[in-house]
Amino acid sequence: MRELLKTSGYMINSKGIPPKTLVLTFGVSFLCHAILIGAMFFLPEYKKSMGNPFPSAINVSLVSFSAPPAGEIPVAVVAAVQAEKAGLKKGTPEIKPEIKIDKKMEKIKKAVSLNQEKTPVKKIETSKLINNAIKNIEKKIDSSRSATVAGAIDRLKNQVENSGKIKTAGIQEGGVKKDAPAGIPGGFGTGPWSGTGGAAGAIDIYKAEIYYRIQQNWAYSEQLGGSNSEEMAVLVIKITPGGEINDIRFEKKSGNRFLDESAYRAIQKSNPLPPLPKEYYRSYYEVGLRFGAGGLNQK
Amino acid sequence: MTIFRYVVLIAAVYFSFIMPSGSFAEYDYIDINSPFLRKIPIAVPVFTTDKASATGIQLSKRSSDMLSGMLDFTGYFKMLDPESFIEDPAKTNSDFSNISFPNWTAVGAELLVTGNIQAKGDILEIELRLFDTLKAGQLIGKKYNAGINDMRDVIKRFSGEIVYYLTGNRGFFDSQIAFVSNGTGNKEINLCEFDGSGITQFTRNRAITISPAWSSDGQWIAYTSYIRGNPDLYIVNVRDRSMSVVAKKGINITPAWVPGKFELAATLSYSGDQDIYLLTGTGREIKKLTNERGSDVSPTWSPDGKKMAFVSSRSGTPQIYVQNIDTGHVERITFYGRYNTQPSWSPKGDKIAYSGMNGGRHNIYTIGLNGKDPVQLTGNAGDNESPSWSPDGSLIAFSSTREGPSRIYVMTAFGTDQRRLLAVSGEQTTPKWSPGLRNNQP
Amino acid sequence: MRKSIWVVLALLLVVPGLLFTASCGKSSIKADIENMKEKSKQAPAPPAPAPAPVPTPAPVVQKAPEPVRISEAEIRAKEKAAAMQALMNEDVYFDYDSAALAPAAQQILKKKAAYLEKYSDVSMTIEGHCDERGTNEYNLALGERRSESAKKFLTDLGLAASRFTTISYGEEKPLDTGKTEVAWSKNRRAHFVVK
Repeated sequence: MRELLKTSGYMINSKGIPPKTLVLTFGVSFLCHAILIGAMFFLPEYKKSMGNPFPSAINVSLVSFSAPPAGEIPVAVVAAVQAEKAGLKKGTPEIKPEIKIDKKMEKIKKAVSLNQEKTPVKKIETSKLINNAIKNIEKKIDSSRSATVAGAIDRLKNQVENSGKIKTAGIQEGGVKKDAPAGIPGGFGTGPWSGTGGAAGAIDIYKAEIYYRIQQNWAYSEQLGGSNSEEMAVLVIKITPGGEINDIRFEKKSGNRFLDESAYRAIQKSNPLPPLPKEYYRSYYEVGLRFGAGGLNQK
Repeated sequence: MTIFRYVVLIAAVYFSFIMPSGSFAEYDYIDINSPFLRKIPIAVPVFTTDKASATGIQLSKRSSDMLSGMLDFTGYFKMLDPESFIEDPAKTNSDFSNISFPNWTAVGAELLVTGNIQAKGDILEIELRLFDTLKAGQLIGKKYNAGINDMRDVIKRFSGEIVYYLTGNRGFFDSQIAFVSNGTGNKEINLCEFDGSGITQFTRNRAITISPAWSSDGQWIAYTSYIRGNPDLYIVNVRDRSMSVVAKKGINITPAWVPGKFELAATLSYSGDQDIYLLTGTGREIKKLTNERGSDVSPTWSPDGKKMAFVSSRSGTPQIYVQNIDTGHVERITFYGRYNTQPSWSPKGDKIAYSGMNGGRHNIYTIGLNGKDPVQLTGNAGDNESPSWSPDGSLIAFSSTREGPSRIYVMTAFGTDQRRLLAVSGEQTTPKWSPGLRNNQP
Repeated sequence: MRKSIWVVLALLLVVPGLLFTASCGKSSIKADIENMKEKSKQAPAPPAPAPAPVPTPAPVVQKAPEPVRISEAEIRAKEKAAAMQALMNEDVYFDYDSAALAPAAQQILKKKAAYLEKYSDVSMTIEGHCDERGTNEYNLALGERRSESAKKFLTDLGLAASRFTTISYGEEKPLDTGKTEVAWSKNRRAHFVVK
């Protein structure tokens, strides 16, 4: 061993490094690494300043909404809810009595209880399911009915809230038990809007609303600015709980003045946005917006 | 070094590398890939005037409509419907200091034009302003005094100011378009304004007259005519009609003026082969530019005058080539299709528009000078030929038979907003857009 | 050598002379024969009917050559006129985007060459035309190539180049303004005009 160390030491420094120093260096280095990595995973405050090493960029291609007949739950949402049952643990989920469940929900509940046998604990990605639901609805849409959009989004919101509440009651995920009401961050999650529960769904829906409103207000002339698909303007906005955009800044300018200015204007015109979801507890919601003109090439 | 210092050093190194200063964002991103509106929404409410004056009221409507029409013609703007406006400009102060910009953003406007027009006998006083409704400020403010017949001129100038503000280029509002029409029984050259208005007959040769070409100062038009029974080249001064003729044996066709010079290229065949020659503005031969056997026709110059694109049959079918005038180096640029002719070099220098025939139909294409693939602009409706760029490179005029008889059309450089420019008796072909003519009104 | 020159001279002088006299002789013989025919018609008659008065052939024979000479000039004039018509009436046709002469085109040109050889004082304008497909400028060049192609064929056959002027009209003067292949093929032509 000493021989080995000596040799390595020799390779580093022709004069040779005493083995002791090498061991010390290695030990300290290892310790530092351990501390850092541990902190990243275990201390939320530290993790916050680190940022999320796995950001989720959600690409929602909203065209517009059309109102489904009142009272009917869109098929896709039902599917989403049914999919959830596959991941439920054994035992009847504890349904809080104050939640109103309409007939269909009742049926689902029964289906859920009958399917206790279904084992595999699939990590359910509600946000993805809901996004898929939204996308499926969008596909049958016609362009310009903002009122019905708001209505549709509200409907979805309610349904997700309900389904979320059913779900959170008994789910265990990632080894960290979450029996708190939806919206409060669990230990391992993606920040103050955790990946499960009603809050996540609500924020995703809110993001869809942001997308819709800002895109509707975005006016960009390819004739003036060109249609270079590589160009992208990235802006970051802060939204107050009332929906007011009280900060707009550029994270990255595209280099194309027309693109940058049109993006800024689109955000200005969209102010105020709808109020933040009730479940969102922070004092403001910060989100990035990436504007690219590349879509113009698709005819 | 002591062990302690060593530890500190290593720790510092590790931490400084790993402490990100915002390298990982703490927020999500939303991707927005295409705009909802592909033009800038602009509001042009009716101009204000002295309500007591009937002339004033008439002029205020006419002038605001005229400005709307000109801005619409550029293709940059979506003109918002005045019916939807909330704010009545007549209620604002004469210096517009109390405009309520939110009333304008509420109807979707990002830009706003206001105007005030006063008719005082034979004189017009016109005040025009451009506002940014989101920045809530004035961008341009101009006051014009003009004769009552010069209102259109004033509107053209202000349109140029708006386009200049946006693009750094004054646009094309003071340009004209020459074109060939046979309504009189013979093909003659006619002129019109950039928007198709004010058509005048330029030649009265009573013989086949074709291929107009503008000099870059707008003072001369060259064309080919059979006045003497042969296709000869005529070089005519637009103002005083003084003239030079190139009447060599064979064909004397397809003139194209060199930018910034009193020289032009043209195809002559008196030597027995059809080649492109460089001539002085009075028709004297300077030198031969192309040398291959076969037809070399239809030259068009790059904006810096250093390169010339032209049509040649040297490879068997008509294709477009680019020649460097200094070095003589020639390279072919069209490889798609068997019949590519009528090249026109964009005043921006980066693209060439041309007419390509495929499946028996002609369509307009543009191709970059960097070897990129051609882009088809017209959509297989009729034959679309003879592209000619506006002097700022934003629009293309061309002829189209999509309605039956050949008519002059205009579209943006991207192929959008294709619309007919004019329709008169007979058929209209080969439009040629002049340079900016501000100081050269014929 | 000398002998052959004499032979040629003899041929040049004697043969046309013989031909000339022969033709003259022919007409007088013709006249005689006609008279003879008349006579023979009338000769057998006398035995049966009453003797018919026999017109004296001599004055008739003397008048006969004059009408023949006039009609010959007339005939020649008429022949030439017909030839000029033939030269101008028949166009030479081309394939799409081509100035090459197909065998049919060459046949037509050869016929024209024959006329032009006979009437060596005739000069022509050869017009080159195109169909309306293709663009105006390129068609002006193609039209010229077509007229030049026809001219070259004729000069290659031995006719003097100075007798021909070429001009291109591109697609500017179509014969048939239809939008069919039939119409277009009629327009892709070289047209000949006697000057």
